[in-house]
Amino acid sequence: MTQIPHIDVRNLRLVYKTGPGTELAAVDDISFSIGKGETLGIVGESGCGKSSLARAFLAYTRPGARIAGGSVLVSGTDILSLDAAQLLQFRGRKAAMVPQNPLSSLTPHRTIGQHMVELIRQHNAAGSLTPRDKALELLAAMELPDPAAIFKRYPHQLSGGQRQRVVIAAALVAEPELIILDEPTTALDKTVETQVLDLVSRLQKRTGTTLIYVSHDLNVVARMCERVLVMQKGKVLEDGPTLEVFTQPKTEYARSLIAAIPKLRSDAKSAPLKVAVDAPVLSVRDLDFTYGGGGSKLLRRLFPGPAPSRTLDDISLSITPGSTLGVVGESGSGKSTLAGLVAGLVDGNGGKILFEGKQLTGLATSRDRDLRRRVQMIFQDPASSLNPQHTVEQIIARPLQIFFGMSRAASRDRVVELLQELDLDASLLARSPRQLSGGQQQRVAIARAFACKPDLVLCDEITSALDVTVQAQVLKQMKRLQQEHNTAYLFISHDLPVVAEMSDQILVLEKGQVRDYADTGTILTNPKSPYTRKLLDAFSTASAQAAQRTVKHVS
Amino acid sequence: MANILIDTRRRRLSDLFGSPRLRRALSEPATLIGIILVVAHLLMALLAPIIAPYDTSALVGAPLQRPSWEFLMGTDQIGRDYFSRVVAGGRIALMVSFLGVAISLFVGTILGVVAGYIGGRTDEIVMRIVDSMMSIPDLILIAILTLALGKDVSALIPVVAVVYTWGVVRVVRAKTISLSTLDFVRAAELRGETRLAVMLREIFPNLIGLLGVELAVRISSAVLRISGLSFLGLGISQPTPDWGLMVQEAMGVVFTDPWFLLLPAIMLSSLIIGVNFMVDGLSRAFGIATAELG
Amino acid sequence: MLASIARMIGRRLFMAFFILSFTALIVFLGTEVLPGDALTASIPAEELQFYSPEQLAQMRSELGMDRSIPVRFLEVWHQLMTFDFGTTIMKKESVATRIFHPIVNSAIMAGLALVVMLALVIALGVLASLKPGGRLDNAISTTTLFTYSMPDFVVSNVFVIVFAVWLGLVPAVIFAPTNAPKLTILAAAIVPVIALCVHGAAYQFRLLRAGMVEALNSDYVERARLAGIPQWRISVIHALPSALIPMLNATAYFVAGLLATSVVVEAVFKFPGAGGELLRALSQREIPTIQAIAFLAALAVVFANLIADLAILALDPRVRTRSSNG
Repeated sequence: MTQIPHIDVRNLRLVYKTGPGTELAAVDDISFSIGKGETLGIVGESGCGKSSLARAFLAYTRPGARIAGGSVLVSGTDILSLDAAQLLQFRGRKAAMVPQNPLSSLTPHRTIGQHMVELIRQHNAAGSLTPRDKALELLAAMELPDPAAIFKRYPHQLSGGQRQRVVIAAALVAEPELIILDEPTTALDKTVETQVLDLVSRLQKRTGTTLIYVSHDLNVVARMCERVLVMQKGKVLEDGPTLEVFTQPKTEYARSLIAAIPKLRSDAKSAPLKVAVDAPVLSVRDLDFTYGGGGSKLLRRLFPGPAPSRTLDDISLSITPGSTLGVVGESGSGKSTLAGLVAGLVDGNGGKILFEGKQLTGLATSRDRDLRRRVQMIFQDPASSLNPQHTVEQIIARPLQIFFGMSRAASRDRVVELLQELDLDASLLARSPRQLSGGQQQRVAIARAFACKPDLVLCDEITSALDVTVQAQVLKQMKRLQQEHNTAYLFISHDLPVVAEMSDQILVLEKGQVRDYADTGTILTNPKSPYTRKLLDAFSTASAQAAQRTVKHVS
Repeated sequence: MANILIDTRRRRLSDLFGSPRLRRALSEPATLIGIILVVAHLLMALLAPIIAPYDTSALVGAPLQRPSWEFLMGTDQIGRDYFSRVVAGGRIALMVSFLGVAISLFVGTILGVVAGYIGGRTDEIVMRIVDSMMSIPDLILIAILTLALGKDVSALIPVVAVVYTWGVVRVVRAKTISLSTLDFVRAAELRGETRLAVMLREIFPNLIGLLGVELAVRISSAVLRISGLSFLGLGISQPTPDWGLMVQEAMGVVFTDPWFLLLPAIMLSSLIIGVNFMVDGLSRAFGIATAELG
Repeated sequence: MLASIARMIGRRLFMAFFILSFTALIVFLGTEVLPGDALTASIPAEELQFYSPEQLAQMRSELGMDRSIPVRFLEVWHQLMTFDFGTTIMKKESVATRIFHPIVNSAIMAGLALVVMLALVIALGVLASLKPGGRLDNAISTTTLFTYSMPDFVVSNVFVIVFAVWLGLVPAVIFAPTNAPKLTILAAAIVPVIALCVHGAAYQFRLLRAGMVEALNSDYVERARLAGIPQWRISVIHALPSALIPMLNATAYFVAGLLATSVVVEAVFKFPGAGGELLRALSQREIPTIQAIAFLAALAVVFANLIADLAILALDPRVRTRSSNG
C-alpha cells in the first residue's frame, strides 16, 4: 500500500439537525486515507455514524444532515465541492454504493432490466454492446442463473440473494474505482450472505477496485477487509490491519465490542445434560402445520387464490425443566411458526404438543389460565411488543393482576422487584416504552414474561434487534434468570453462535424440516447434515475469518 | 395472523405527545394562526348571545342601512342587525356538526375497531356497507336524509351522524389493522385477554390522536356541508341566522352591497381555514397521518 | 398473471354490483320508507288536506304502494339497475328522458374538471416535491390548504363577481338550455370547472404531495440518487408512479366530493346539469328523479373507483401478483 491515497478524508464533520438550533455530530472530525485497491471495513454499533460516513464518500447526506467541515478527496479532487452536474458525473461512475436493503432499494414498479438499462444509458457504459446485452452481461457476471428471465422480472419477484446480486450488478455498471457497501447483507440469510460475499471478494480481486465495507457485523468485516476502522459516537477508535485489531484491540470499547460477539466454541455446554433425569416440560411429536388462506368462503370459492403451503413437517422435540433448546433456522424455515403453535398464537396443526404430558391445544384464549401463565413468550422487536400508550408499570403489572389477582399497591412492589432483577431502575416505572433504549425495552419485555413465574419461555429472535454489546448483556441476564427460577427456554434465532451460547440442545430447521437435533457440543463438532455444516462455516469466528482471508490473500 | 408470524416487522409507533413537539408546532405561524382562529370562533359561538347587541331575528331598523355605531355592520334587507346575525351565524351549524360528528366518531370507532381487529367476515360486511355509503356524494345523502327526517335543525344531527360515520370507520379500521400487526396485541392475546379488553386497553389508547384529528376535520367538513345545504335552501331555514343562508340572501344585492356576501363568507372560510391549518400543523408535529382530509 | 388479473377484475365487478345494490337500498329507504310514504311526500303540504284517506289509499294501490316493502324495493332495484327509472308520481313523465341531458351536461363538466385537475395536480405535485420544505413547496402547500378550506359556494360566487361582473368575460349565469349543443355546454362549463378545481385539485394535490414526499424519502430514490440519475428522472420515473397510488386509493372519496361540490357550483352558475335537476326534484319531492340521480352519482363513483383500481394494477406490479387477496 505505498501508492498515493485513492481516498483522503480530512477533518470530516457531519451533523444532524435534532431540533431548532441544536445539532448532533454523526461524524466528528475524522481523518484517514485509503490506498487504491485497498479493502477497508468500517464497523460500529447503531448510531456510531458509519452509514453517514459511507454516504459522505459519494458527497451525499440524508435530509436533515449536512457536512459541517472538512473534505473528502477522491483521486485528489474534493468531491464535497462538486456542483450538481459534476456530481452526476461522479456518482455511479467514479464511485458507487451498494445499499443496505436490496428490496426497498429497487424501484418496485420497474423491472430489473429497466433499472440496469437506465444506468447503462446514463453512464454511457454499454461500449460496443446494446444496453440490453450489456445488462445481461453484468447480470451473468453476478452468477445469476437465468439473466434473460431476471431482466424481465420485478424486484419483488426475486429472492433476497438474487436482489442483492442485482444491486451489486447495478453498482458495477460504469466500472467505478470505488465501491461502498453499506450493510449489504443485513437482509440476507447467513448461507446466502457467504455466497454473495465470496462473489464480491472475487470481483474485487479481479478488478482491483477500492472497497469500503460498512457493517455492524465484525465477522463479515473480518472476512472481507484487510484493514478495519472501529467507530463509536462519530469518532474513529481503532484503525489498523484487521487481524491486529481483532486480536489486540487498543481501546476498551473495541475490546468489549469484540468480546461481545458470540463465538462458536466446540467445548460449549459439555456439562452433563439433565435430559435423561427429568420428565420433559414440553414435548412435541410429529408436528405438522400448513398455512391456509383467510377471507370469505364464498369469495374464495368464486375466485380461488393460490394453494396453501406446508410450513412445518413432522417436527418432534422435547425440553427438560430448566434447560434450553435452541432452534436455528433461516427465514422461511418455520421456526417462528413453531413458537406460534406452542404459544397458542396460531391453531390448526397436526401432531401433538404436550406440556408436562398434557395436550396443549388451540389458541391461547382457549387454554386454561394456569397454562397461559406457565408458557410465556418474548418477541423479537420490543418496540412492537410493548404498547406505547402504557407505562412500564402498567405493562409489567398486567400479568400480575390477571394471574395472581394482585392489587395495584401489591403489584407495584413486585414490579419494582422484577425491574431490579433485570438491572433496571425503579425510576423507569412511569416511563413510556418509547422513552427507553432498545435494550431497556427488551428487558421490560423479559420482566413482563417473568412476572408470570413461567416454566417455559419462548424466545423468538429476542436479541436480533439489539446491538452486540446490549445483546451480550441481555443473554447474560437470561441465563441468570434461568438458573434462579429453573425456567426452560425454547430459544429461537437465525444466529447460530447466539443459540449455541444459550442452549443445551440445538435443533436445526430448514424449510420446515429437522436437519439436525442433538446436544450443542455434538452439533458444533459433529453435525449430521450438510446444511448444518454449511451454517457452521458461515458463522465461523471473526479471527478465524480474518486468518482465513489472510491465507487466501497470500496464496 | 398468518403473515404476522413470518413477517415480524420492525416499526416504531410515532410519538403522540411531548411538549417539544407542541412547541415546534406552535412555532409555525400557519399552525398558530389556525389555533387562534379556531379558539376565536369557538368563543364567538359560545358567547354569541352576549356579544350580539340585538336579537338575531328582530326587525330593529330600516332595511339595508350602512354600518354605523348603532348597527356595526348595518342592517339586512328586512332590517335585522347584521352584526348580530354574523356573530351568531355559525352557532347552529357548529353545534349540529359537533353533536353529529361526536355520534359518528363514537359509532365509527366501535365499528372500525371491531372490523379491523376481528377481521374476517365481520370486516367484509362492514367494509361493503362503508363502500356503499361513501359512494353516494355526501351532499346528496344529506339532502335525501333531510327529506326523510325533516328540515328541523334537531333532525340534522342524526343526518350528520349517519353521513360522517363511514369515513371514520375507514380511517379507524386502517389504523386498527396496522396496530393489530404489532406484538403487544399478540402478547395480550397470549395473556388471555378478552377481545373486548384487547380493543379497549391495547388498541383504543393508540387511536386517540387520530380521533382528535378526525373530530376537528369532520366538524369543519360538516359545517361546510350544512352551510352549503342552507345556501341551496335545503338546510337551516329562516329566520335562524346561518352563514350559508346569509350568503344566499346576499346574492341578490351583491352588486350594490357586496359586504353582505363577503362578511358571512369570510366568517365561514376563516373557521374552515383555521381548523385545517391547526390540524395540518398539529398532526404533522405529532406524526399522525391524516389519511384523508375533510 | 393474466388469470389473476382477470380474477381480480371479476372480484371488483362483483363488489361494484353489490355496492350499487346496497346503494339502491339506502336511497330507497331514505326516500320511500322512513316517514309517511312517497305519495304524501309528493303532494305539496297545502294540498294534502284536500285528499281524503280513501282517495289516498286508492292512489296508493294504483301506484302499487300498498305492496310490501321488499317487493317495492325489488321493483326500484330492478328499475335502477336497468336504467329505466320509471315515471314521476304526479305527472307521469319518464324520468330517464327528463334527466338524460342534465346528466350528460354534468358528466361533461365533471369529466373536464377531472382531466384539468389531474394535469394540474401532477404538475404541482412534481414541482413541489423537487425540494420538499423549500420555498416553492411551502408556497404551493399553503396555497392549496387555503383553497381547500374555501367553501365551494363562496368560491363560485367570487368567480361570478370576478369573471362576470368585473372582467365581463362571461355572462354571470349560463342561459343555455339543458339540450343545448354539447359544445356550448363545454364552453359554459369552463368557469365552473375552474371553481371546482380550486377545491378538488387542492385535495388531490395534498395526497399526491404526501405520496411524493414518501417516495422521495425511499431507499430506491436514494439508490438512484447515489447512482447518478438526474433529479427529473427520479421524480417522474421513479417516484411519481408510486406517489400516485395513495391518490388513486382515495378516488371514491374524491369523486363523491367532486359530485357534491358540483351540485353547489351548478346552482351558483345556473349550469343546466343534474345538480339543478336534483334540487328541483328535492323541492318538488319528485322521488323517482331523486332516486335516479343519487343512483347515477353512486354509479359514477363506483365506476371511477374501478378505473382507479385498474390504474393501480398497472402502476404497481406487486398488487398484480397478490391480487387474489383482494
